Amino acid sequence: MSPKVRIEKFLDNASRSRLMVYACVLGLIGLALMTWSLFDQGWIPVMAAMSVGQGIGTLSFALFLVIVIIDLRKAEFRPSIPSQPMKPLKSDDD
Amino acid sequence: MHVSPLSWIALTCAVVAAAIMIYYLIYRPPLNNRVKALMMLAVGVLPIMTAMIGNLEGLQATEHQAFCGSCHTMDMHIADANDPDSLSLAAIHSRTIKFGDKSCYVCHKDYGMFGYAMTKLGGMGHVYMFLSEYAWYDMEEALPKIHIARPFKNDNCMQCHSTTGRIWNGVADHNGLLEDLRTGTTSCASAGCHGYAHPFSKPDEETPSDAEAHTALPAPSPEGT
Repeated sequence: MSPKVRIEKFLDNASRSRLMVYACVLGLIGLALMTWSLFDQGWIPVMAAMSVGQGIGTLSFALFLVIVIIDLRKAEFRPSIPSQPMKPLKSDDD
Repeated sequence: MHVSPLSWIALTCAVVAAAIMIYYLIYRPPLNNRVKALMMLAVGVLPIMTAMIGNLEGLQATEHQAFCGSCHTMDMHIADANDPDSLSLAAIHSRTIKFGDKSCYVCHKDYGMFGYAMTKLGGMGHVYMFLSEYAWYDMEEALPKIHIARPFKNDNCMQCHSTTGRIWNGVADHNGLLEDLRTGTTSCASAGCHGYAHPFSKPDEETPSDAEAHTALPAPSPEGT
């Protein structure tokens, strides 16, 4: 199975609520690491915040974007204003 | 512990984001447009603000002694720099307001065009060295092995001591070695000149003489240096 097909299959079958739960858990871990460095400015918290913390936070946001992509794939796009019926063109003879 | 107003903004963003995420985890509301907009705030906008402010605060934190001294191998360097009785170059400079709490950074940073980035890259090298080797040593083992990665540049001294002032040039040794000092051939912080910045860490300890220390303590006017 090619990667493209695999991704499409994942997007078709993935549970949005489960993805959101993962995004929230990762987001909470990332936020905890990022806020730790605001209070303790030793090298471990500062470097953890600017590398691991932000990496986990980015992963959390990426999962949210996957949910948005899943929704967009299932969305039906239609114009919001119905188009006006075409008026018959008058001929030059009139 | 110092918490700046920006940190409070970051903390507020983090708390609001965490509250929304915990609410979602507990109540699991259906993911309609309204909930998604809220979650966009919780996992996107607010954490990004926290991260941006965190970066700003984190980078500023790396300029303080507390950051440099958070590795145990720097304990003696920090203690000496903050010792009011010490006559080392590090201590003399740390007592001035220009250096103060940022004395490690002000002396050791790269003043070139890409200085900030180069200093941070150098710092990553220190982290690597610490994690791969020095973290496992106690102070007595580490002290003889710690050394500066590259010879200390006179350019850093010349950020304040411009070498053009009348008082500075009035010193015979300065005048005689002017070109060598400007090109870095002779180091200001070497045995025979002003001594090492952290003399306790050198086997052949070199400290300023009493006479030199007395002239160094009352800082001369910038025009004279």
